[in-house]
Amino acid sequence: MDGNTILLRQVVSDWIVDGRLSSQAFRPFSGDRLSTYDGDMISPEETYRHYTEVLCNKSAGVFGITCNEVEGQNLGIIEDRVPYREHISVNFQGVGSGGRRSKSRKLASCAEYRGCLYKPD
Amino acid sequence: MDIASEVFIEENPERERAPRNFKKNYYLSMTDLTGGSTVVEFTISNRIPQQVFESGEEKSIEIAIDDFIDYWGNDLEEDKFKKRGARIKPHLRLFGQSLLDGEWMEFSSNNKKSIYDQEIRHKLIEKSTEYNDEIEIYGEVQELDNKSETFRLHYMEKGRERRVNVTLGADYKDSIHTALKEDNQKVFVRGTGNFKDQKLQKIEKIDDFQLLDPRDIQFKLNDLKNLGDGWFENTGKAPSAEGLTKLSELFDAYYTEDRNLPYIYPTPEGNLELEWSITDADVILGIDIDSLIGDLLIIYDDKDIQYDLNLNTSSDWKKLNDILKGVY
Repeated sequence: MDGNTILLRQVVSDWIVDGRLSSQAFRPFSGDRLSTYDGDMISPEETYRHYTEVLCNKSAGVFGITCNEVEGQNLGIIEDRVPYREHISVNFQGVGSGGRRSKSRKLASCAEYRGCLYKPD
Repeated sequence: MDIASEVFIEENPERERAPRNFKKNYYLSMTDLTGGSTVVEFTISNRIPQQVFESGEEKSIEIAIDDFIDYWGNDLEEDKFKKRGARIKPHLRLFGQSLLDGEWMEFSSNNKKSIYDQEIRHKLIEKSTEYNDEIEIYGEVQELDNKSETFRLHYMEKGRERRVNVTLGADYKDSIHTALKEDNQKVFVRGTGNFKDQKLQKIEKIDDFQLLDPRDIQFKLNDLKNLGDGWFENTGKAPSAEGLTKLSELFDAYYTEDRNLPYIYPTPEGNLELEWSITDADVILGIDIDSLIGDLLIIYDDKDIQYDLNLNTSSDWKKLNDILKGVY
C-alpha cells in the first residue's frame, strides 16, 4: 500500500444526484472511522459484491480516493484489517463537525473527478 | 336532514349555515303500514311548527326528499348527484344489499316517485365510486401510443412503482416527445385524474406539463417521500413526509436562486443535507427536518465559515439567497 493506493467506497443511489456525490459518502456516519476497501487487495467489482451480497447493503456504485488525497486532508489511515482483511479506516478522530463536512466534501470531489470505478448493470 | 341542511344553504344564499336546531327540531315517524306489498308511510314533522314557514325550512326538506327519491331512482342530474351522493354514499353498499331479483323498493313523495332494485343499486355504486379530481404527479414518460393518443407515465407513490395512462395534450406534444427521448428525464404533470375506488385510473386532461431539471427542488423533496427506513446500510432513517412538504412550501415561497439549484441528499439520521457550488467555494446546508433549523458551512480552499439558519423565518431565507449570490 502506498500513496497511490485507491481506497474504495460504496455509494447509495440517494447520494448521487445529477452525477454529484454527497460529501456524506466520505464522512463517517457513526464514530470516527470511515470504512474503505484496500484497492490493492480487491477490485471495485469484488467490493461491490462483498458489500451487497455478504454485508447485504445497497450500493449504486464504487468510488475511490487515494491515500495521498486522504493525507492531504490531514487525516490518518489505519490498516486495521477488521472486520475483513481488505478493510482500511480513514481516521476522523479529533476533527469537529464542520471540519468533517469540509474534509469529506473535498474527498468526495476527488472521487467524483476520478469517476465511478464500478457500477452494476 | 344533512341533505336538507345543504339545500337550505343553497336556497338561502345569504345564510352561511342552516339554523342551529334545524336537524334537531325535525323527526321522522312511521304513520301507516299497509298489508300486501308492504307500504310504509313516513312523515317528517317539526317540534316547533310555527317557525317553519318563516324560515324556509319546510321547503328545504321537501326539496331534499325529492332529491333523495331521484337519487335512489338514479334519476338525479349530475351536479346534484355528486353533492347529494357524497352524503348518501357511505350507506349505499348496505342499502338494499339483500334485494333479490324481481324485488324492488318504491319511493314516493307528493312530487316524485322512484324504483330501486339491484340493477339500479349497482349503477349507483359504480357512479359513486368513480370521480374526477385534479392531480399532480412527478414521474417519467415511458411509452407513447400514437394510435390512442396516450402516453404512459411512470411514477412512485408511497415507495411503490405506479403507471398511469395519460391523454396526450396538443399543447404539450413536443415536450412529451422530448421527455420520451431523454434517459431519466423527470417530468411534472398536473391535470384531471379519473379515480375509481380512490385509485387513479387515468389522466384525462393535462393542464400543465414541465420537463424538470434533475435538481428540481419540488421534485426531489417529493421523491424523498418514497424513501423507506433502512435505505443506508440497513439503518438509514427516512425523512418525515410532513417536514418535506413544509420545506417544499418554504422553498417555493422564499428561494430565489433558480439558476443555482441545490443537490439534495438524505442523511442517515432522517434529515437532509443540501449542497451547492458557488464561486470559489462549496456550500453544505444541514437541515433538521422537524425543526427546519439549518447549519450552513461555506467551504473555501483555506477556510470554512459557518452560519446558523432558521428556515422558518423569511430573513434567514434572504441570508441563504445572498450567500449563494456571493453578496453576504
